[in-house]
This record gives sequence, C-alpha cells and structure tokens, in this order.
Amino acid sequence: MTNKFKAECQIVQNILLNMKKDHLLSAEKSRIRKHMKDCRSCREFQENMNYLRAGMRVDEKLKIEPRKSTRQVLVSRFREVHRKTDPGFLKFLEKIKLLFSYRIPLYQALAATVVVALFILFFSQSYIQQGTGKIPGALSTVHDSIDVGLMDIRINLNFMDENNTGRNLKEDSSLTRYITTSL
Amino acid sequence: MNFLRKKYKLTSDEQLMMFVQQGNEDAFLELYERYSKKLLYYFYRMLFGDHEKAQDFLQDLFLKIVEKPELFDHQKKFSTWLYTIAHNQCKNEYRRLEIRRRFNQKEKDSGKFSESGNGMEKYLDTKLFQSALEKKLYKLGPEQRLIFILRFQEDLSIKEISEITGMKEGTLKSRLFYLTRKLGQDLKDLNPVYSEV
Ligand SMILES: [Zn+2]
Repeated sequence: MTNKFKAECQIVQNILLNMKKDHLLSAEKSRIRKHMKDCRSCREFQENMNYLRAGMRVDEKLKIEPRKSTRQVLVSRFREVHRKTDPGFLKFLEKIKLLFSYRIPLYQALAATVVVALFILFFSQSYIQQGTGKIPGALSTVHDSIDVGLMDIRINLNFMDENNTGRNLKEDSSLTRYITTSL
Repeated sequence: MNFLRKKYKLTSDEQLMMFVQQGNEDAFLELYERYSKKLLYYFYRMLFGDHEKAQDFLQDLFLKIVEKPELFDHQKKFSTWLYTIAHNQCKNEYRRLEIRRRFNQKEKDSGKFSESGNGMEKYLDTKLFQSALEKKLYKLGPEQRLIFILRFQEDLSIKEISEITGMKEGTLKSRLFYLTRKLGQDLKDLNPVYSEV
C-alpha cells in the first residue's frame, strides 16, 4: 500500500466516521465510491460502520415505552412549578426587571437629589450658625447706628418696607427685643 | 394566548424550550413526546439494560427540565443540551457503581471476563449479533461506551459529541476509529454481513 493510498484511506474513513445516516454530499459520495473499488480496508471499515449501526438500532420488537406514570408525574410537577409564576406574575416580574434595567439613570437622579438635599441642609445650617455666633447682619447695622435717631434706625433696618418682619425668626425677635427694651 | 394552544408539530426544539420557560405545558409535552422514547433507549443501553433504572433516569431528566428550564442556553442545540444532562446522569451513576464495585471487589475477579471469540458458534441471527454487541458495549469503559452510543445509536456528529462530552474532536475521532475496528473485529463471527461473504 503506497503512502498516497493510505492518505486517501484516512480521508475516506474520516468522512465515513463523521457522516450522519444518508447525509453525504455528492462530491464525497463519488470520491468514496471511486476509492472503495480498489480498497478492501475501507470497504471493511464501511461494513463495520454499517452493521454496528444496525446493531445499535433501536429494536422495534423490544417495545420499551416510557412509563405512563412518568408523564403524569411530570405534568403535575410542571403545574406545581408554574402555578407560582402565572402569566400575571410573570408580567409583573418583567416590569420590575425593566425598571432595574434603567438602574444607572435612576441612581443618577437619586444621587442628584441627595446632593441637592445635602446642599440645602448645609446652607441652612451655616445660616443658623451665623445667627448664634455673630450678630445677625441686620442687627449689626442696628448696633452701629445705636446713637442715631429712631427714624434713622427704621430706615437702616428697612423693616417698614419689609412688612415689619426680619429676614428670619431670630432677626425678627432680636429686633422686637431692641425696639421694646431700648426705645 | 390563543396562538400558544396550537399544535407544535412544526416548532423547533429550541422554540419549544422558550415556551417551556414561559410555563407552557403543551410545549413541554411536545418535547417529551419527541425525546422520551429515544432517551429511554439511550439510558437502557447506558445502564446495562436495566429497564427500571432507565425509566427512573428518564423521569429525573425531564424533571430537571420542568424545574430548571432557565438553565437551557438558547445559543445551543436543545438535543445537545439534553444529551449533556443525560451524560452527566450516567457519569454519576458509573461513579456510584464504581465505588460499590471496589467495595465488593474481593468476590469476583475470576473467568467472567474471558471474552475471546474463538469458541463462539457462528449464528447468523441479527438478534444474537445485537445482544452480543450489547454485551461488548457493557464491557467498554464508560467514556467509550458513551461516545459509541452517541455515534452509532443516536447518530450524532462528532462535533455534537464533542460538545456533549467536552472531549476534543481529534481524540473522539481516534477513539471511534479504534472502537469501530475493534468491535468489528471482535464480532466478526456473529456479523450477518460477513457470514454471508
Ligand atoms: Zn482505503
């Protein structure tokens, strides 16, 4: 047997080994047929394949059928499993999933809200601190102009224009105290 | 939901599996009809002709599909996935049997495995050939038995078998070559084709 012949054997047997029942391309078919005429070894290989396949064929006479109870068991289990997840529930789940698929923009909005909230908190805090530590802006004006006449104070405070109120509660009460005690 | 109730005869396995994942019972039963008998026979051969055990394995297999249909990867072929599960079931069973065999080893190590074919009578009966082949099969290693059954009984391609078993295609080819030659040689006396020549 020449090496060239052996190589062809390998190719042919490879095709035979890999082919599904009656699924040969016509090009392959003619190649195999041509080779088989002269090659006993490949003929034997094909015969082996054929009868092993025949031997392995599901025997109709053996008549093994799946148990009837298997089907029943499966159906009742199937219903049990899917009762929990009826279509309505599934739709709900889908919606939740959809919501979560937007999680990044949602988080951004949430983060923005938190930042804004922190800002507000911070500024309102510092505003109150200003009030306790120093003399409030409006009141310091009052201090500076303590020797000035009532009219001037009124003008300085502008509380006539602002409807008799300070800009916040503290300012308001300090002013009231000043007016009621000093004047 | 009306369209779901129609018959599924023309629907692909993979599509049916999608319906099963959505909880469609008819789709599941269609898949069961398509594969139960085939797999029963597969288990029967893989489990040394133990009919009852094959039935149990079949039920377990389909219960897995009922309970975890989401494990099916739609990139894959359904049949390949199914055989992969079946393959793992058998592998586990072999492992269990192997442990038990080692445990009881002291008893039988005697002439049971004298498998030389020289004393065999020449029967021309296909039936006998089949049962001889079956016996041979049960004596193969688990891996060899599996690939042989997948190739010669289930008629799967080498590529599909490779996906199921995780073995390389080259390795599979050389093992199948070996098995074809070896079994062919061993059973030559019983082979109806050869006996006629
Ligand atoms: Zn050849």
